[in-house]
Amino acid sequence: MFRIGVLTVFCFIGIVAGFVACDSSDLEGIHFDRGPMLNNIGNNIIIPAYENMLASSEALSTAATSFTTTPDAASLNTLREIFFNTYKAWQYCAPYEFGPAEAIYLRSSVNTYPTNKSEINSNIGSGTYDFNSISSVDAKGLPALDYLLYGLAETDEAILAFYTTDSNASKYKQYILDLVADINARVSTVYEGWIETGGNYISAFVSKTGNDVGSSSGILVNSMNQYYERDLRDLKIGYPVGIRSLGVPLPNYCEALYSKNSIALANESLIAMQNLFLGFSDENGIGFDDYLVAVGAQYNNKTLAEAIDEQFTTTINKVTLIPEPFSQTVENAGVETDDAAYVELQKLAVLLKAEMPSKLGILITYQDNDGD
Amino acid sequence: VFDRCKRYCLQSVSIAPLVTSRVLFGFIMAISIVRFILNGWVHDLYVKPIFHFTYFGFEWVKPLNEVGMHALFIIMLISALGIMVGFFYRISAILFFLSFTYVELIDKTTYLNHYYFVSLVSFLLIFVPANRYFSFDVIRRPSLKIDLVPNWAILIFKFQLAIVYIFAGLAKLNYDWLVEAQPLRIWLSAHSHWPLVGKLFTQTWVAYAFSWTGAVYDLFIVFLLINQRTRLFAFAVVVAFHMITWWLFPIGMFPFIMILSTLIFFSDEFHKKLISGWRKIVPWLKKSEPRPTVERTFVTKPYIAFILTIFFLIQIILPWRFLLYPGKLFWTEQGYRFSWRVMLMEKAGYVIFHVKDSNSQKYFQVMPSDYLTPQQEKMMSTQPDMILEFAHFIEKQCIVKGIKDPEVRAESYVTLNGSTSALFLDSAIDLTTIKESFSNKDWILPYKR
Repeated sequence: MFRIGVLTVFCFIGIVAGFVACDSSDLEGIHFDRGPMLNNIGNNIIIPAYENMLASSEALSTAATSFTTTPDAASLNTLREIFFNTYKAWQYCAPYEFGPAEAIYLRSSVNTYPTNKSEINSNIGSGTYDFNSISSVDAKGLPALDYLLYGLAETDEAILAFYTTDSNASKYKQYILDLVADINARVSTVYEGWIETGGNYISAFVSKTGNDVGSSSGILVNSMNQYYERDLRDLKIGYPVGIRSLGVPLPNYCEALYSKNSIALANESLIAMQNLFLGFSDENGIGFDDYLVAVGAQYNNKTLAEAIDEQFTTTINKVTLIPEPFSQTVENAGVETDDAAYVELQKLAVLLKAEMPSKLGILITYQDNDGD
Repeated sequence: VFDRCKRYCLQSVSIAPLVTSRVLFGFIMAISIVRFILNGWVHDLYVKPIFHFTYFGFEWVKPLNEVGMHALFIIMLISALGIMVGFFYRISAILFFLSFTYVELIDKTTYLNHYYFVSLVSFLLIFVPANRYFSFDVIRRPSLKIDLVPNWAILIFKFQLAIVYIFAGLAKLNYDWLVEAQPLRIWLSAHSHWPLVGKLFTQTWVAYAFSWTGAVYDLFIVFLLINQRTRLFAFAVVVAFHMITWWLFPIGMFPFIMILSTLIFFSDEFHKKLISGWRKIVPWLKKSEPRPTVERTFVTKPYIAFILTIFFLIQIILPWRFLLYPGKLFWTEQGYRFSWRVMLMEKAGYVIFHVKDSNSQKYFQVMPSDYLTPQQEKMMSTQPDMILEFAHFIEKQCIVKGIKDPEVRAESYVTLNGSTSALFLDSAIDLTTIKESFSNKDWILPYKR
């Protein structure tokens, strides 16, 4: 009897194997290989994002050097321009806080806000600070630079004075150089960690094609959602409008508070996520949208892929309508429960965090599960 | 009939199947516990979370601190080993049942049918004389040794397994599973990257084949195991079935526990051979155990029949309680747990908690991830009782922060087995006005496909 049992099992395996071997190309049904999707996302989206960020932060270094050599209105403007470009470039790297980026706390090092003015001032005054310590994150990075380039005083002349006539002028200049160098070094480390000729994280990323928590799809979906909920929806929009603080607006919590680019950056960040979803770089490559289409995921009367793409666009349009400076807007208006932009951001969260992983069968938890 | 039944249950049979089951159960539990500790789950699941979802009526079950939780798991491990080798067996079985069940009652998030199964089996082990042969207890006190046990001591484990499989099979007889081949259609296609068989998993007919085979397997495997002529075949199927599920799904130790458990259906001869095999591995056991002169048997105490009858009656009734609630069971999950509903749903949700201060009319939102682990948040977002409990937690947090009369509303969206996500709960209901109970939660919106 046991032999018959074993025989049955082998027969089953044999039939399955034979079936696959003889005619695998003719099989109807879903054909989706996560490998090419990961390849596209890794090589055409993530690495170029870091590459672009690295180029920006190098340009930032150069501009910071010329500004500190000859601090005048012209060099300040150049530095500010490149600063804004770098801040935009950062939005395309921010969602990928795993692998090389996670190892050196890239996200919190580059963009922790609100920045701590008093800590920055005391750092400059004392001239002693360690940008490698975790506690320094709110006194460095792009938000600190935002403060130093825009927030030191009301007028440009007064700001420039800090770098020219102020008794601590040389310390101010050194602080700018140091924090730009810190950004540059970290971005460079992460970029090197990803590329084939460096740490080659890309090859691990592309090869982990499973659907479990440790797989690249699992890591991507999880960090994408975590970033979306906490960093994009809440920190960029929710906190300032007071959605978590009893309706009391927190204007100081705006990103790029002093340069007044909060909404522009929030939009940039949404576009970055939409591109990731679509697998879009120079052209529309394979992304999560194609994956959703392949598994036949529907959302009401359209495909879920279309629904998510449309929701991205709707959300971007609504966020664009928020008047800058955002800090001023929230102070004047406060938040209504039906705040249009936030409502759209919420709808997108439902689609990205519940609908998408569920339809793809991607695990977002690591524990034993019997499916209930 | 009753008399025949009674005679059948009290009839003397070899103790061997009981003894091997004891050893194997203790063994697999010890491995599971070590695995659990090494995975860091004691900390992640019971120390780290600042909030736990309790069972109705068991709100008093609280996690201990870091040291306490680890101590509890060490007790669990030692008692599992005690069961395995039969050392202070009765105390070990009681300690294991209590510590294991206590841990499971701490947080609903971690509810798994196979944990429920372990609790039930360890409860049964308390009442059987599984230590009275091939054990340290017998070495300590040779007079304990018996060769025969009443039939019921083995039948109860077979019956327990029959309940698990047959109810699991009945639960699969539903529209989604049989007609839509869901959720297997979603889950299998996620494995399309596998070499060779990967492409098969994307085939609709394969999802149907797996669904129907699974249902038939669950419904009939016990009968094939009981019948001596089909037993070996059935066991091969058991192994194949559970190994396939182990490869496909993250179900941990469950397949191994089930494979070992089904050995109880094998003949006395098989179990005797198994024990003599083990004796060869530990030869000193053989020497130290006295040879029997007469075949002695275990006397059944009358209260045991009473306890076991109640125990099984509850188990047989519990899975049907969902009939008392209106609406689609998978959607409302009223009466879902403790019913052997395994792998039946791909369900995901998203909850937004809207909080309003009734006095100042000020409004804000609470982000669950500020208080919950990703696992807790995921489980909560599809289960009304957990959403309610978390809403009450928010209420308490608000009161601590000085908001005397908060209103908490849940705007939640749920997708079930591939359906488009729909509003799950009545988002106009202030959940602070709702008390948890077993009565119907009429604030769950009806399911629409």
